[in-house]
Amino acid sequence: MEEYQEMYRKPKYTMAWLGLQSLYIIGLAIILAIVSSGIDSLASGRVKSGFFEGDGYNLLSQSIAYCFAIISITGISLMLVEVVFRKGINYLQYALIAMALTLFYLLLLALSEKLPFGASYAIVSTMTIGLTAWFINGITHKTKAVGMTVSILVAEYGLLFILINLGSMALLIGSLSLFLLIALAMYFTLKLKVVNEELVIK
Amino acid sequence: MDAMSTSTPPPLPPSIPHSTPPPPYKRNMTYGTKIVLLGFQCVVLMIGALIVWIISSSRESLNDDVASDIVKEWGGPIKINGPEIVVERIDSTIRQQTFACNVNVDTKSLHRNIYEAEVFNAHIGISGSLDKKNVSTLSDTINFRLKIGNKQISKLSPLKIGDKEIEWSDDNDDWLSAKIDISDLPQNIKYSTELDVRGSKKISVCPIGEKSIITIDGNAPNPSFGGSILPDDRTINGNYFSATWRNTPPSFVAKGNKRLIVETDFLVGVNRYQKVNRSLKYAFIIILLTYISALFTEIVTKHPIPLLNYFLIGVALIIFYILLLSFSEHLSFGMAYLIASSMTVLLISGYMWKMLDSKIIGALIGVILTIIYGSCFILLSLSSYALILGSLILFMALAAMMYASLKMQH
Repeated sequence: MEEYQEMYRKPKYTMAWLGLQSLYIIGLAIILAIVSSGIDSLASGRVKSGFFEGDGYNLLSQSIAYCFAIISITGISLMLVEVVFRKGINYLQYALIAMALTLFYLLLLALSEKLPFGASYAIVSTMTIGLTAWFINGITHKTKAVGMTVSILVAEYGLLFILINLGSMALLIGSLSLFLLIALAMYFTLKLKVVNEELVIK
Repeated sequence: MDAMSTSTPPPLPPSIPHSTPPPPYKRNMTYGTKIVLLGFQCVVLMIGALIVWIISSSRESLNDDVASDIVKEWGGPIKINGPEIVVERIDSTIRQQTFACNVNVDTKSLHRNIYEAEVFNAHIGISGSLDKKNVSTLSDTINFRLKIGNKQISKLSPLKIGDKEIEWSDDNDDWLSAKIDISDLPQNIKYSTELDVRGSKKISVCPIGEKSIITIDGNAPNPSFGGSILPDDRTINGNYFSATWRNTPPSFVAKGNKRLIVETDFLVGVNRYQKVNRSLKYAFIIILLTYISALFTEIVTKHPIPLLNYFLIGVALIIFYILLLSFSEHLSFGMAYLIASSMTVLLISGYMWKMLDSKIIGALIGVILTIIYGSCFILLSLSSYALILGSLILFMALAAMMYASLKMQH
């Protein structure tokens, strides 16, 4: 009987869902990128009033420039987690995770006023990744889903740290990782099959 | 309740094998709708192209800042003014009978990290003559004053007058000076001197004799001659240039405070960022042609390609420009174009191969993309024939599309 229900269930993960969800994530990323630019101007105010050193500010400001990319890549990989593990993550939960990723910058600003930038980056990114992992575990109750999210976030924050410290080589490494990312996305769309309107990763 | 429990479950629909016939989600989308949606995608992708243009422009202004720093340390424009012959006792300038100035320029580009600036080394030879009559009534000693930026002089030869050699002194920050007793010199006093300078952007010379001959020659990619007067002779042969000003009116009769000068500007050529910006102009046509070829493949093979896959192909075509920009900062533009385009072509043709599961289609898309990128590179390198070639390529693309649509009818 359960099998029949499975057959008659209204498909959730359709192509239309994919399109709408991507639009939602990009909209979220745009709004939070504006918020993070507010954090940037807060940081420059702190530099002027002498709480914050200019060197750390340059690194922070550069990392804030990648806010849009971080949020949209994380959102799209969460969609992948949804399709692979067939556990719904609702709009509010997406928004909360994106806010955690934006709060990262505020925490980074606050902590790097007291500690060296590298150390505070390590602490704050561990905090953010830990919080997101705990949240994903609460939503999906699947260790594999948590593992996937954590590995994506670690890769993102690791790459971000490399990019902001590279200086003039950053564009080259950044564009090569974009190329890699689009190749990865193409690979997953090849795996993506449509069975009775439902998207399935094979 | 009994009736409910005995009733059989509703009959199942026959299971749809999902490998051979096209997936059902495509059935309701006509090609017309699809073309409209693809056009919308093109517009969205042009926003991506705009972002690449903004990145490229900001990198260009960063490069300009670093270049102006390099230039500041190396030395700015060179202005050769003099040597003026001054009688110090009454502080008046004596006219020279003849004045000749030969400047030999050797341009080179200085690199700092990935940034570069155009500068030059110049060898300057100055000679001239004056009539002793004009001076001897006023004073026995005259003073030569040569105004060139003192910091930019890398090598300085002494001033030769007749058979005497006098060292220049740089007591004054603004000019070099040399003092000479003229009592034992012949009637026609001849002098000459040589120096090496470092500079950038331009060289200008004041014609200060009754008769002046000024020659500026050397190696520079884009020289431009001007100032108050255009040169009488000019040659540009590849990288070598030469310009001669012969019959310039003497500078000291120029009206107002502005002195007459002749000059050569060394313009910076089209840099890599401008080349990337130029190639971005073809982004729309490249995306359009790629989408059309993918659409034809879809129609011919009857295997639908989802809009998502089209979008990923379009994004890959935009990422090509970011790759081009970042490679061209480290390599020459041609090399960067070759690497970035072959990466993109390989990615997209591999994707089409795996998606439609046909090596032939993958290879075909690869060939089409190679032709598109190749003709774009030709369009970028030819400036004057670009329009005619571009319109011919478009004509051929249109003809190919017509041929394909004829084939499709049968």
